[in-house]
Amino acid sequence: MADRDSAQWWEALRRHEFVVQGCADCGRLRFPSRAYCAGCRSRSWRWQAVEPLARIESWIVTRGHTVVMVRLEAAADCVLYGHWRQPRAPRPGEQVHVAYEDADDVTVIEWRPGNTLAGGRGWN
Amino acid sequence: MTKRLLGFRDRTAVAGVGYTAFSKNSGVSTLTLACEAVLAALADAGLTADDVDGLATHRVGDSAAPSLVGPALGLRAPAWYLDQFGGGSVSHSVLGQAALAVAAGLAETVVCYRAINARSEFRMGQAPNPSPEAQYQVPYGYAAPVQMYAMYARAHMLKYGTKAEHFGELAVAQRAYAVKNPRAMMRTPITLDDYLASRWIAEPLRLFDCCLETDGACALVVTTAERARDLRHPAVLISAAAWGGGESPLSSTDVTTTAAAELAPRLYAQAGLGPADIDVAELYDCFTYSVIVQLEDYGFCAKGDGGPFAAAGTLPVNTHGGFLSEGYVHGINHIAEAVSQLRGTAADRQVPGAQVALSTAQPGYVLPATSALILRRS
Repeated sequence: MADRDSAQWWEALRRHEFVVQGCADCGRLRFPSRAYCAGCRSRSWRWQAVEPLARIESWIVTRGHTVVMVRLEAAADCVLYGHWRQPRAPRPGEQVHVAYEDADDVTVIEWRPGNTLAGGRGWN
Repeated sequence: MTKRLLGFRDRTAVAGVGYTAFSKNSGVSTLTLACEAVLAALADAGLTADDVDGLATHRVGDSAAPSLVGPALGLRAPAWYLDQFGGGSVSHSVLGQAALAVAAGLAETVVCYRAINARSEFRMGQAPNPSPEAQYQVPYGYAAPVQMYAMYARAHMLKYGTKAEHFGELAVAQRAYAVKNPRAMMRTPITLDDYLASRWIAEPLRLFDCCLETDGACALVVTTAERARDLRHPAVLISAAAWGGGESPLSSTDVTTTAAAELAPRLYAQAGLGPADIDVAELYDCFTYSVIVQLEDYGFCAKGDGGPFAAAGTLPVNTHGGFLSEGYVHGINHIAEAVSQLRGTAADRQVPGAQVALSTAQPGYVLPATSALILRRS
């Protein structure tokens, strides 16, 4: 599933670290992982921890399962997907945070309502 | 950036249209379908395989290449061919590239075709998605085109108040056209209530929001405008052909606008025309929402008004029934219908006096690229 551009991102997720790439020259954040900055075309970058907070932009329901599409609060042009496991439907624009779901060989994302930092309980 | 137009507009024409039957199970190979459609298009133009010096198609590993079809039809070594990788996004660029080759004198008679057994042999979504972006989607069960379109449809509904009824009225209108189209796979009228009662496929999209899975082929003969005027049918000129890329869906700041919004001004400038000049629009309708966003991005209404505009039905759209009701041949049957409308041979579904048609490809969601054509009656 992971490729040569994305392997380290998946490894970080496996360690429950939420990172995106940050351009070492212009500072622009990017996701998905790739070698070049689309803003300044620099190839220098570093992994950068960002708050795992996002806003709900849309969702679908397929055979009872809800998948959400969210936009990172830290970077407006970073769109991610994830599971939604709440008993209620998502609300448009609502704030969500990452919860890590560990399967046998991969960790994936569940988006949960709110900002757990506000409750002082950490990210997971 | 302003580009000089070096004599592309109206230099080439579509002179022949050919179809196979559309079905759920053709019982034959895509090579057979391709040959049948190519020969039908040549016969329609009053030409034979001996006149062909170019072949063009697009594929995603699911169909017969020009290098297979050419020898199968005993063509002399083609002067020009195109075997474009891609699906619905590139459907209209195939004809555009054929027109470029003819306009440049590299070939004189190019047949463009698309042949698929998309129900009985290679169903959409069954092949692994080659995009690196799929790895961020598939783990959540988000993989089928209908799910992606459902996601964007809901984003549009949330942002602009687009309603299920808007999708529904469009589906009903396209079915009404299909009722009048002997080629169409779905010829039983539906009502808005039927639409609203149809089952969820990926909420907010229902069964009647979705295109058909089709076995079939369609082919078009492209030649010079000059030569087309000497052939059997009124020449349908290729006034503009444009294609290009948009934003990745994972990096887009506005998922309710597509690559078509960037392409449309280029396309209209090439033709020297605007949305008000379009008499009939054959718009890529893998799902109803695709039409609604394109009505906006091709400038027929303001951003966000595509739902009410589509429901009002003021612009004739997908007069063959579209992918929703005629059949899904990945884009080329939209171009073929535009040609019929401009020839004035669309029988019961003819748009009176149609002079100019717009036809478009997948607007840039599943793959961030699109293509489109403006055709006009000579």
